[in-house]
Amino acid sequence: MPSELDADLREVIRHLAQEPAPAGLAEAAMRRARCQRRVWTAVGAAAAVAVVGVATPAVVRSALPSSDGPPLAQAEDLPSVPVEGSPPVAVAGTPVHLAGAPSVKVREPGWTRPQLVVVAYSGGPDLAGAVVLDPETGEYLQYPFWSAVPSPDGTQMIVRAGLGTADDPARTGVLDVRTRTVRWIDGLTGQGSWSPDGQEILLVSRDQPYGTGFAIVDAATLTGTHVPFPFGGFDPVWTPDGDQFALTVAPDVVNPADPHRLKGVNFYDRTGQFVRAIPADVAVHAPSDFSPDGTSVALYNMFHKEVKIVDVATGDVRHVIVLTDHVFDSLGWIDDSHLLLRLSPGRLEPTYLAVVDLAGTVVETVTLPDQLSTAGLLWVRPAEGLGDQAAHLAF
Amino acid sequence: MGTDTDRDFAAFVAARSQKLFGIAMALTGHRHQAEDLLQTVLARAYRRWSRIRGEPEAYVRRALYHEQVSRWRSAMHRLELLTDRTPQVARAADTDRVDLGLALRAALRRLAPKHRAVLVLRYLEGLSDEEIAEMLGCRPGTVRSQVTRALQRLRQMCPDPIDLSVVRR
Repeated sequence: MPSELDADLREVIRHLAQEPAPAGLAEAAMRRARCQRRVWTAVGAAAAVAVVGVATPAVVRSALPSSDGPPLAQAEDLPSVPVEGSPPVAVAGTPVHLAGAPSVKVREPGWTRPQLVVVAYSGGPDLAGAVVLDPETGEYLQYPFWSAVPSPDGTQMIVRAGLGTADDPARTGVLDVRTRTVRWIDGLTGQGSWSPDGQEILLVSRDQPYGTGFAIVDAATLTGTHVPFPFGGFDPVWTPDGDQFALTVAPDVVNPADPHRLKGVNFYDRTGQFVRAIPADVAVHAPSDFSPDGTSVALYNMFHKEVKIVDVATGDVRHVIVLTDHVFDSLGWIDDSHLLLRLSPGRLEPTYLAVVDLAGTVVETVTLPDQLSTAGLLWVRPAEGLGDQAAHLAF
Repeated sequence: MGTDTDRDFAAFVAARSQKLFGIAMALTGHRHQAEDLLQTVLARAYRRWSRIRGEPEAYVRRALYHEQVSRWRSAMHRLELLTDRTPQVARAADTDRVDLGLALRAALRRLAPKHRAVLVLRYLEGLSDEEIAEMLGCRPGTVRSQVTRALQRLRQMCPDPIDLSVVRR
């Protein structure tokens, strides 16, 4: 039993914690974050040829589960609006030298896989922009974008910029990695999701001029149609067949005792019409979460220590991969029975890569150089097609 | 950032500000330092909002503890600690319960941040040694030794009748 003085200490600490919180905490924190961001941008913009403005991570790839509104339904009964991109403009990147190379440690004898390469990363603690690999020269180039999401063939990246204000609207663009040019679409935000064939991009909007909705944009022409849709905090991701998108949904009523519990994953067709739903208490984050055969999807919540492999058709949990470290991200499936995960020993610790099988066995770990281990987003692709000067980056 | 993100972030802070500020107050013992600590952590969370999946409160809480420990390692904050007003040591003869509370409060401010952190996690958040270890990224044995040292230090700064016991969970 605690002593009387033990209770005194508890009382003192609790009394301290009852000090009323100051007003305007959120606004002050956002101001502070934006001031820091402007400093970063000033550094990055000095090296840029094209005027690209202040970039911002405008998308919520996943965020606080909805607790302030109804669950997602389907496309609203509002008129669709055409969208159109701009001509390409040149943008220069600043070379970045990685502090080392990924180091592979095979832990399951006989395990082999195709070679991989990090093609983009963004969001590190000291990083002003997104860094993209030029697969010909082997150079990592830092651009003044908030993120860069590679196309399935790695030749293009969905990039984001803009503060989301009237004089600096949020913009999403497509960077041609080889020509180092970008085409912009104003008004659409979101990290973006490439269709499985790389021909289309699924983008969302949550603000003016379009309001809340999505657009499926032709990657070649950047034309498409905006469809009003009541999105919550999560972004939609393409399904493997390219005919639908999947969306994580929060409960209708949030349980105060378990406020982060999710309701499931809904599937919608390309017009935003509801198709079906599967139950799930964890989230789908990217198209790469779907297994190569399309029958399973890897669901997880950031910082949990497990990944659920769920039947896409029924929602049945096929496997629960229990890990000793926290899941920071899932980078995709190596094959139908192995996942490439980004793990972290602690929530603020640097990350590393791990290949795990569906039983939870870690068959391989990859130690990352500092810039990669602390990056917010990290994208890995098969190393095929690298130029001679980039071949040494494969691991 | 987009308005949607701002809205999500502002809603989160509005819903959790009292709890988070309470932790910051318990960690620092000083209103201005608590506000600065919390703003620092919230600004970082805001920049990474798109990456904080599922558990923003857990992220911010953990970041508060880590930030408090790490910032006090810097020379600047060590200087602040050294130049801060030294609290009076309580004397047994004039220590009633109010004085005891004041003395404890003052003594808490003089603890090393890591010692204070384990006490806050235990006495404010009610976490077990294992949970504290998970939160701080260390072993449960380390937590127990830190709690023991923290309480010993409090005893030194607040002599009898304070007789704080180490309670294993």
